[in-house]
Amino acid sequence: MKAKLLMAALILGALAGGQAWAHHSFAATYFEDRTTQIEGRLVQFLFRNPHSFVHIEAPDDDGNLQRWAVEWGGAGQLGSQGVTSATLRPGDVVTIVGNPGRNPADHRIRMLSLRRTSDGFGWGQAPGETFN
Amino acid sequence: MNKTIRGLVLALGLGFAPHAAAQVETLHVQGNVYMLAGAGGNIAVQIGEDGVLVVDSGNREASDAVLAAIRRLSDGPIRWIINTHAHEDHTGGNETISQAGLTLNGNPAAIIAHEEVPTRMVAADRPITEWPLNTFFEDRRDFYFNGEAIFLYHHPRAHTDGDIVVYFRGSDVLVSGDLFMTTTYPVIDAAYDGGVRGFIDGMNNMIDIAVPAWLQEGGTYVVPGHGRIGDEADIVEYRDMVVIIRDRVAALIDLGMTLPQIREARISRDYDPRYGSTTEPWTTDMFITAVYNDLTREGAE
Amino acid sequence: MRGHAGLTVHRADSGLKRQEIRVRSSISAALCALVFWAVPAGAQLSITGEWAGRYHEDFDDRVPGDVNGDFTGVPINDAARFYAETWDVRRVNVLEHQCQPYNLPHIYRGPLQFRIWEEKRPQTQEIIAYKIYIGTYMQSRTIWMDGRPHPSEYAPHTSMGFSTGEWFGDTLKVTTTHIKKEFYRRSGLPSSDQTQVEEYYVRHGNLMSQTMIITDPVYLSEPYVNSQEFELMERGNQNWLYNCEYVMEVPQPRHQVPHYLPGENPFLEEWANTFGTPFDAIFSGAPSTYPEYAPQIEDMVNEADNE
Repeated sequence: MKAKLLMAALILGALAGGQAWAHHSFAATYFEDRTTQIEGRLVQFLFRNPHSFVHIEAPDDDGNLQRWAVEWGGAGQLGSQGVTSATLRPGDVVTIVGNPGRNPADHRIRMLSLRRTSDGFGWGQAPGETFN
Repeated sequence: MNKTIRGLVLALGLGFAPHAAAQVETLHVQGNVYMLAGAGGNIAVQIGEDGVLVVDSGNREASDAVLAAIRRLSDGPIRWIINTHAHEDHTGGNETISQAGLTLNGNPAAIIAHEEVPTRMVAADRPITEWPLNTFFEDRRDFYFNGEAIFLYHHPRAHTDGDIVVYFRGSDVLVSGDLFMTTTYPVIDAAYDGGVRGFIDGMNNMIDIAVPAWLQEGGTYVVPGHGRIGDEADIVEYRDMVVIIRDRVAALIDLGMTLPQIREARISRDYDPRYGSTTEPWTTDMFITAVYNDLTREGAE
Repeated sequence: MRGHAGLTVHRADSGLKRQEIRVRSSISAALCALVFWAVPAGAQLSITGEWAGRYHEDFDDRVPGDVNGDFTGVPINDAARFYAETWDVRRVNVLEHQCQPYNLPHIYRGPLQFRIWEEKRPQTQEIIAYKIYIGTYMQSRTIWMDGRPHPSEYAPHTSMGFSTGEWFGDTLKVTTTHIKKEFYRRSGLPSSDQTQVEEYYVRHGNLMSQTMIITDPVYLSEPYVNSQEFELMERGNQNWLYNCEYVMEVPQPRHQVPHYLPGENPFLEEWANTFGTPFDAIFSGAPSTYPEYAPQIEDMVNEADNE
């Protein structure tokens, strides 16, 4: 019985709150055993399916300014966590921690947490603030 | 046109049975545009209040059947024929269809094509009644017919040097000629100055034009040179295949491998069951050879 | 039992003598013939309602998709192997690939909730078609029950294909053609546009079993047989909407086609290495889908240990 309840929970957890299913394998795209941190200015927030993206202008390890593409959850899934298309705005200075992409030239990160400097708004620290 | 390409043209056009009666199948694509299949290369027919416009005319032997199929769609005057390129499986019916048509000034239906097409036809001793005489040399042309804008885009050094792609804006239908097929690897006619890079450019242009309606399906439909009606996703899969094989050939050229070595490497074996062939008129080896030749020709980047 | 072009039946070990098994097999065959004789539509079970998938098998691949390098369970041929070897997952980020949904044989294996309803001829109430709406990617599907033929070979293909159905007793058999090219697994195992699918639906109370027999002359060495279970949802689904929008996710030039040159995929053996399973076993295709293969894996592991 416990196993059945656990399985049901897993299924519901996977399917709740909009599109929880990955269109592609994150493990294939990001190093899930590593993290990286960037701080910069938000230039674009793509709130959509299959995945939202936050584009940040921030320096790379060599100090060169790059446009970073930070992958986030689908709009439906984030919506159930209180994130909307107006949550982030161009010009926001944010600090992002995430898994780096496997191809460094892509300057691509999978979001683990975000914090906005101006008001301390954050995502990824509270329980349930994840995506898959 | 060399003998091999001529053989392919005839084989693709006549289903490997030169004397079989043509079975022309008519399918509605979208809006004003229909596709006729089974008469050689696919034919697109646009019908409306202004009359009939035909893109390509199929094989010469099938032209009576093609005309009959057009007449089942519309009894309006055939005003225009557009040729996507010079090969006979797409232009063999020019005379029959043109003579059955009528322009506003009382002449047979006008045949439009890039100026390279009649040049090739002259060199091949084609009868003058099959030549497009309404030609253009710039990279695009447009006009209006049956309530919609029609665009003609020239793509040099692709399937041949005189390829055009036709786009019916209102019906949202592309007619690709042999720049896209669902039946074989791309046929690159080097004798007509075809090349793989021009081929890829042509497909990329079609991808830029096409817009899917929903989930990468529908929206802009494409009438291919041979095979089934497609959409943007189908062009993308075909383009991806050509780019990947091109890249693999290029990588082996960079390693200093010869053409026989590259053919031996079977670098297209993930696509061979779908598009390849070991028997003429167009084999996998011939495709790889055409890609190799285009990448290594003098002046290639 | 091995999959073949027909219904796959699992038979429990009853401990009966060989002679008794033969007699019972003959009787079973006769009964099956009677059961599978087509019966009028009005006698069928209802399959309408809202159904959710149950993922007791291959959960990781079917739901979250965290399976870089998992090529197991599919009878792939050499062409499929070469395709998968050179597949770069970043291709799904290309503009024209982003909103490409799972095709028919893939989505029923993957994450889905779907609603089935009937379209009936008003005058006779005869079922013309089953309509299906799949919440994942907001896909729609029709299973035609009116005997109409499949379209011309020149007709366009779609992700859901063109389906016709027929009842055999309480089993609905569905035949689908005209399917778009896509994948069998997210690791890059391709399914071609020549794929055809036979499905068999059997309902048991609030559960419905679906068996798929997938044939693909381009990428499979034999029919790919799998089965899924669906459960009738009591309270209904909350996630029926999924509007996919394609955008430039990662700045890159247009018309890129990410792929690995042969021999240069650095992640090919990652899953095999993670789970300590011989890569040759994972990549073997049909043989490794049968239980008789297990001793061979043991031999491979022992051989590797001795090296």
